[in-house]
Amino acid sequence: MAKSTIKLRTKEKGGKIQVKALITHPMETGIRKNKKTGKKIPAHYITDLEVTANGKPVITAEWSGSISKNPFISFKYAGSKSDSVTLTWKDNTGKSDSLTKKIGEK
Amino acid sequence: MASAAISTGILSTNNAFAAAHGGDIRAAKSVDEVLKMLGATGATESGDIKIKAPEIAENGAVVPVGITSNIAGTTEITSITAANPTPFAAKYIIGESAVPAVKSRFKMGKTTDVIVVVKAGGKFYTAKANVKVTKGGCGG
Amino acid sequence: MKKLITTVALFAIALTPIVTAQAGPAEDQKALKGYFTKSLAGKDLNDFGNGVYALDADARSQWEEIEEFPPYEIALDTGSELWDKKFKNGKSFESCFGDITKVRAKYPYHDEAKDTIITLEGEINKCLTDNGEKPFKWKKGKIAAVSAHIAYAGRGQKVNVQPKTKKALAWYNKGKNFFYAKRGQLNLSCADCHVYNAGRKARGDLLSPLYGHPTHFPVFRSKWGSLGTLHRRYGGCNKNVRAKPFKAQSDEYKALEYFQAAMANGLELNGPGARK
Repeated sequence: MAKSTIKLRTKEKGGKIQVKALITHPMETGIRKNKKTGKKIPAHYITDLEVTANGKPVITAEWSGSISKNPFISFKYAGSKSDSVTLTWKDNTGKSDSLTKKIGEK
Repeated sequence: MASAAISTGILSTNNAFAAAHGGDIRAAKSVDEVLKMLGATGATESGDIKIKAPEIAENGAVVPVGITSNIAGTTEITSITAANPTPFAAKYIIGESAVPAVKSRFKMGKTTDVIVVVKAGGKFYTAKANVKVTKGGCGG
Repeated sequence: MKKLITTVALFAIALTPIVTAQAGPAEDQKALKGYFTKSLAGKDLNDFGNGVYALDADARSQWEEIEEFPPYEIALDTGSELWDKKFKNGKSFESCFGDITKVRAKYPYHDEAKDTIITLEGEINKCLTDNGEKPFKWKKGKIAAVSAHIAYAGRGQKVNVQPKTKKALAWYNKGKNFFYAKRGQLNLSCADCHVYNAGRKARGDLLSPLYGHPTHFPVFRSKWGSLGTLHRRYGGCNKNVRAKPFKAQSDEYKALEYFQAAMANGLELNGPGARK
């Protein structure tokens, strides 16, 4: 089974669900040059990211190469302990990954 | 509310973003161009947008920034790194249940203003914070 | 680009307020803490395991944000997998090390019979070669991941490095001399930055104090974009004063690690760490 690029943590407190994610991704801007060959390292970054709760979009992000390598995102939404949260990302090369967790699930 | 094109799932939105901004906003080379593409030229300055960013970035490659909008009816939060070659950094579309506050980590090539644009109730608001980025001395 | 690196190291152990030529590790640590109590007055010495983040609020705030979901967590997963993975002969790291929660605090230590310093990374590779596996490279990648997994499991344990025998003290003094000796084109000793100018800035960088230096290794540096071992960091520091770096796990760096650990005796182990 392929390892997920997404680490997702959720916690319920006072009717709000805290969502934190750390994603393994190079987030290459396309500006950097390979020091040895002098050639530009091609742009390779997450362009779109979406978090849904029980299938409904909670936050949708449009990212650029200006987001750091191994990107992090953190936010809250009004939800319940029984929610199922899904994070999906897509990058400029067409690759994507998705992960679903129940609230509090490791 | 999230725009119709995006709510069908991001995996199917190949050009929705570019279409929504009249071209890829990520390629825009100036802050003015980014604002124009957002439709946010002339945004009102607002003290209800809080930007938590360091005074001096430890490392410009990973600068943690937290943005909170206390403006009622916030639907979008955009972050612009003014001094980066392509200033558009990130845009967050805030769903109905989401709290309009988000933390992420940005790359800043040099000392820059972090310009935040918030769309709320169909209108645009803005605030900014300055982050100093130095070259390390003896980092190794 | 031509790199100008020299191998000149001038030994100049002056009698300083910090150490005396005859004092032992306990006295040296006491003197060191006394020095920082004055030079960094108002700072909490118990927090020095967090380096510059014990000294600067703006830097600490960024570090706390990073620690909310630190990038080394990705390497920790790798380390955990490597720890669990069975070798070709059916054994695993656990066969060599035993209870993972007790491993980190054992290192470094002086092996009286072999008269050498045993480091955690050294033992990781010894476990591999003893079991017919290829050793890892010394400074980053898999060795750092396994070291991080062990460090994480050992968080909260106290550093317990107290050189006592004549041979152990010889290694301690070797490390101490290295630390206080001038080196490189810039003719700086480790102490110049990390004792006498700790808390001050070298261009854009705040200099961390010797006390508590090694407790958070291996370290994920934003600059590296990856995890690296203590000896990787030593090499970089030596290059920064334009001195030829020694090899990872060389006698010089093992002695230095032993000295630094003795200076951190009693502090909590808090690896892996996140730094700029």
